[in-house]
Parts: sequence; C-alpha cells; structure tokens
Amino acid sequence: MSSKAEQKEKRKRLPFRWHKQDTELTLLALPTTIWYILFCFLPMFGIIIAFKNFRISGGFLSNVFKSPWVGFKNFEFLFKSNDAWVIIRNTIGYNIIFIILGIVLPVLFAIMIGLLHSRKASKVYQTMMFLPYFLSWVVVSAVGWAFLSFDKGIVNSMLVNMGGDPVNWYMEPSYWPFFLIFLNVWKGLGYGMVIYLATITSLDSTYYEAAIIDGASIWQQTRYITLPMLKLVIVMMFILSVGRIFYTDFGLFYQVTRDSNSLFNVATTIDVMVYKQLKTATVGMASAAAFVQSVLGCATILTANWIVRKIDSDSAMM
Amino acid sequence: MKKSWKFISMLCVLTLMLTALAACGGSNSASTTDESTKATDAPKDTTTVSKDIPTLVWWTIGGQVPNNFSKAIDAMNEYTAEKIGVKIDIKVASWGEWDTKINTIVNTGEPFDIMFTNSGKYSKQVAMGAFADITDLVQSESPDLYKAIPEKVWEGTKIGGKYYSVPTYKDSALTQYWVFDDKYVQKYNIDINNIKTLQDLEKPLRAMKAEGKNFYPMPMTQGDGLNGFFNEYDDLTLGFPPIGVKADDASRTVVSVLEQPDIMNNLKILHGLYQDGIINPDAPTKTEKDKGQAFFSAQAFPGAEVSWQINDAVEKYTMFQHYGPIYTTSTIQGSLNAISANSKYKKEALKYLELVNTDPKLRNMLAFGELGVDYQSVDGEKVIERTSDTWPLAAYTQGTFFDLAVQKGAPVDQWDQVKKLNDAATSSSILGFALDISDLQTEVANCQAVWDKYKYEVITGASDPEKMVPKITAELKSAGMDTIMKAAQEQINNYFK
Repeated sequence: MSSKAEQKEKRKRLPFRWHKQDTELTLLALPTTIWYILFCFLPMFGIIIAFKNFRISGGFLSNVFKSPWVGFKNFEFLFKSNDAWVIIRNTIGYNIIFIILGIVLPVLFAIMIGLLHSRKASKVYQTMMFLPYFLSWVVVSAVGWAFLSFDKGIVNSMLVNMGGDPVNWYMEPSYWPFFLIFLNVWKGLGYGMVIYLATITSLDSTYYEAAIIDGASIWQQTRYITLPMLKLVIVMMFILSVGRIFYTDFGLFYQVTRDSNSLFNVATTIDVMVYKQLKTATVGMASAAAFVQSVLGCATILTANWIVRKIDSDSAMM
Repeated sequence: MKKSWKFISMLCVLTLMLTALAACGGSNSASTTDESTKATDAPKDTTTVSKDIPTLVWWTIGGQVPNNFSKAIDAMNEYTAEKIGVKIDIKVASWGEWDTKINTIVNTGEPFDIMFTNSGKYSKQVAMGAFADITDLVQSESPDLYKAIPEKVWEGTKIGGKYYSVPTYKDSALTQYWVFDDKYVQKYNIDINNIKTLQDLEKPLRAMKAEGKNFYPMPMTQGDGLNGFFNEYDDLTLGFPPIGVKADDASRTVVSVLEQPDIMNNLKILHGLYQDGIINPDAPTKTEKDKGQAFFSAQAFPGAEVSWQINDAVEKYTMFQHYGPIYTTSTIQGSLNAISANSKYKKEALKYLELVNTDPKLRNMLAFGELGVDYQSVDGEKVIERTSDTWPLAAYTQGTFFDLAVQKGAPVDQWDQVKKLNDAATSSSILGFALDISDLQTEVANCQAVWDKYKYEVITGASDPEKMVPKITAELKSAGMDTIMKAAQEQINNYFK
C-alpha cells in the first residue's frame, strides 16, 4: 500500500518531460494505433447511415454525407417486425448457454488435462480438441450435411438400415438447439481451454507440494488451490463473453442450418437477420440493426463489469 | 479520474478532427467526379477521351471464370477498340453471390459503368439514385440501339416516365413450359397434348412414381419450387409473390395472391404431391439441383432444350408450352443493363451496348467465349457449335437474342420463333406499371421478412396450405401488407387514369 502511494508521489514530483523511452514506446505503439484508427475508429462514422435514407450521389463518402436524414425511421422495422422477440430470445438464449458451457467445460477439461502425468498424452488431447477451431463453418456445414442430409446422409442411412424411417433433420426444429449447442462447444472447447491451461501450468507448484504433504486429495487440491487461482481468468473471460451477448456466430447459425425456413424459430439471431436484411432491405435498416446490437452490447459489458466490481473489485476490468 | 477525463476529451477532439477530414475527402471526391462528367459532356473533349480508349467496367452474372477468360476478353477488346474505341473489363459475380455482391457494390459506391440488374432490384436501385437517366442520351447517342428494341419493351423499363436501363430484347414475353425427360414420356405413354393445368400433371407424375421409392418424379429445390407458379399474377415488379394483380384482370385490383382460390387449389395439389413422395421430401432445404431431372417447369423458348440436353447429359427433353406468352413489367425487366449514375463514360457505355445489340460478331464472342476454343463457327456468325461448357457469362443478360447465333441442333429459325412468341404475347392489364416503394420501405422489408420465413415450404408444397396460408396472411397483415396493397392500388389507379 505504502509503496503505491510513494510511487504516486514520485510521479507527481517529476516535471512533465518527454523521455527517450517515451519516444521508443510511442513508435512501438504506432502501428497498432494506426490500425485501430483505420479499422476501428474510422468505420464508426458509418453509424450515421442508420439515421439516413441512403442515396447514391458519387463515392461512398459523399453518399453518406449527401443522403437525407430520416431520424429513427430505419429503426422502425426492427421493432415493428413480428419476430423481433424470437430473434432477441434466440440471440440471448443461445449466448447464455454458450457462456456457461464455454466456461464450465474448458475449465473442467483444462483441470483434467493439467492433472495428467504423461506430457505426451496431454499434448495429444489438447491438439485434438483444438483442431475443430481451425475449421471454417462452411466446412462444418458440409460435414453436417454429410451426416444429416435426407437422401444421402449417414445418419439416415443408418436409421434405414436398422429398419427405421429417415428423418428430415433440416426440417425438424426440435433437434436443432442441441445440434447448435453441441457444434459450438465442439468447435470452441480447445480454444477456450488454452488460456486456462496456461494459467494452470504456470501455477506455483509449491502450493501443491505443501497440500500433498498435508494429505490433500486431488479433489481438495482442485477445490482449494486451482479454482481460486483460476478465478481471475474466469471472471475476465466471463466479462469478455458477456460483452458479446448480442453477437452470435453468423457461420454457425446461417451456414450450418443451411438457411432452412423450418428452423427459423430456433436458429435466427440478430446477425442472421442483419444479413438477410442486407440482401433485401436497405443499407440503412441493416446498419440500424447493427447499431442497436452494438449499443446493447456496450451496455451489457458495462453492467457486467459493474456487477463484478461490486462483488470483487480486483477482478473487474475497468 | 481526472486523467481519464482528459483522455476521453482528447479522444473526442481527435474523432471530431477525423470526421472533418473525412468530410473534406467526401466533398472533394464528389466534385472531381462532377467535373469529369462535365468534361465528357462537352463535345470537344469526347474525341480526346476516345483517343486513349476508355475501359468500361461491366458487372454481370455468370459461373466460374475459366483460364482463357482474359484471352477471350482481349480478343473482344481488340475488335471493339477498333470499331467504336471502347474497351470492356467484365467482372463476373457468381450465381449464388450476385444478389449480395451487387447490393454491396451499389451501396458502397464502388465505381462501375454498366451493371446487369433485374426486376425486383431495378426499381430499388433507381430509387437510390444508382443509375443514370438515359431517356434522351439513348436516342441521341445510340439511335440504332433505340430502334433495335421495340417500343413496348422500352416502355417496360420506364420508371417515373424515364429510362434508366437498356432492356435485353429476347424472349421478353414470358412463356412457361413443362419439360419431361423423353425416356419417361415413352415408358408411361404420357399424352403431353392433354396436359394444360397442374391437375392434368398429377396422373402422369403419379404413374412415374412406380420407378421406385427413392425416385421423385418432380424434383425441386428451395429457391425455385415449381418454377412459374405465380405467373398468372403480375407482381408489380416488387419481386414479392403474395401481392399482385391478376394479369388478365381488367379492373386492375390488387389482391392477396396466396388467398386466391386458383392459387389455393394449386397449393393443395402441390402439397398432395409432396405428401405422396412425388416431390422430394428435402425440397425446402435442398439448394442445388441434380443434373438431369425427370420433370421440371421452366420459362423458355423454342430450342432452349438443346442447351439443357448438353448441360444435363440427357438424351432428349420433351417440352411443351402451357402458359403465355405474356408481357408483364417484370418479364421485360427480367434482364436489364443499367449505366452507373457516376460513370464518366455514359455515352461510351451506350455505344458499347448498341454494338452488343446490333453486331453479331461481338454478340457471339460475349455469349460463347473464344472462337476455336469455346465454340466453333458452323455457318459464319449464324450457326455455331459450343465445344465446352466452361464459358461463364450468361447470354441472356448481355443483349438481344436476335443477333445471336443459333446453336447447332436447335431449329435454325429459333429466333424467328421467339420473335413470333413475343408478337403473339398478350399484355398484363398493368403493363408498364412499376410500384414505387419509397414511402413503404418499412412495410416492404417486414413483409419480405415474413415471406422469406415461409416461402421455401410453401412453394415446394411441404406445408399444408390450409393451415399455412391463413397463418402467413395474418403475419403479413400485421407486418403492413394492407398498407402496401392500398398504396399499390392508389398508384395503379393514378397511373391508368
């Protein structure tokens, strides 16, 4: 505590001066800064499209500036749409499940792999779990089709061979929440695990040695050493994923379901809708939807951080 | 705390400065394009411009681009550079991504000169201001082009009394055909002369089901359904089947199409066929067609089966007409080439389109590719034989059929027959009318979303119309269909006053 105060004092007493060190660090940060300005800050002005009746009158910029303002008219369709409720329910519902599973399962597997004695085996398992992450959803969609297609699918031909009737999987909404959740977990598990595993392997082994001498079982070691040490990382990952609660993986919900009409109620999320609007409706409407998504996302991340700070201020990010 | 405030205010200042910069950039680029268009407008400058031969960007639709694509384009450019002093850079959007890609290009203001567009898109793009008004230009700059296309077809492209595109004069009137693989016609003794309605089709199709449990006589995909199912209703160029005017309705009443007794009846037949396994059960989710179908429905013209036979490797297709020919605004707008409002070379673009529509040599190169590689000439520019099916460009998007060569195997007087069909065509009672949706965008977007949600199942017969149609109409009504219908009726009444 005292050292922190001391440091502050020191900093205050120093006159503001540009150090050589500052130049170096600034230069080092320059590429990233430029990248951020170009690709993260400049595109933000596109938000005004959501409030405009988009008209062509030259290049993109002059289109944006010369189009007439329409206030909140572009937002109307979002809230007048009959399916707004279904879409928001899907988006948030799936995300809540993904967030929970996306923390519980990777932590569980990370702990299990961390406990393995054989280094080789743990590397092999880890790599195998990581592999699906590198597949694009388009590929996954094709693989899914190979399994679930009505006439040529593996699952259906197995069903028929066993004397059952083939099922038209892409027209049965009741199965799809499970398929989607399974695929998301399958694809994201290895990636989610990396950070937890890195934390676990970097934990000071003396804690465990002391615990073993005291006669702690593996369960007790996990419960009283590993999990408390992981808490900070878990909370951080939680806040990060909550901030994206209004975003969904477009590939998963659009590609894998093959845009099947029958699955509308279980597979349409905000991103899918924005894409479909872009195809048929105006740019203004699509950007309005994306704008609402960003604002809500920003609100949720701030709320989540606020709640975390109330409970445990050390874990909060901001 | 203070520090973070400082940081935030700093950020705000920065962003403000950037917006100012961006604004400058915007006005600059606009003014330069203005100047350059002015420059080309001045008669003196055109000669200097044509000296360094402008290259026009033409966005069109097609398949996979083959290796010899640029070589074939070079040959075309050599020919046109000499003839009219214009070169072309053809950009191909694939069949699947065309919709999205063209929207992006128009919306981001990416420069292009000519763009293929069609009904359903065209009026929206014109409303956005994407295309140049060519009403006067086309008559002064390319009189031959204006003369080559009949008045009726030009009329069909009018929006607000002005031309914004060059229509492709081809089978501009819609004629709907039913096509059987001849193998089954022989085997099941199908009497094609007595098939007029969907009901007449039921008997032969059900007979064909005898081929086997996994044989589906009427295969469908989600996008097409039964092609031409809603043909009898003029869709007001909305591209949205649930609202329309019956093509032969003299009173021009806008109706809810799905609820009409004839459509309802056909939907019931379709659903029956689906339930009995005549239609493949995965039709609402199937995206790609199988090659070679036992039966299908298509908009076509005499001789069209020749190229299907080549593409599908089917020995013989038997096709017969069951509806049309009929002109509606949408059929005419089925294939249009529009010129960008920002193009520096509007006149050159028109000249090029004029040449496409009047010069058989260029027309054939565009439609068939590289002479000697993609096709062989059989009788000058009149009859050709395609030697590969790799040339990606779609001939129907480019220009008229009537200066195009006939493919070997098709009737030599093929295009005369098409012309006869056009001449014999009846007109929809609201021909020339196109709905202006600028005040209806919210309603149209919402109704479209509702229809998109159900359409695959409806048009493939997968869902029971007696349950689905009331449900869809209820949802459409709450999405604002009544408002669209009312506005459409008012607009029609004003137009035909």
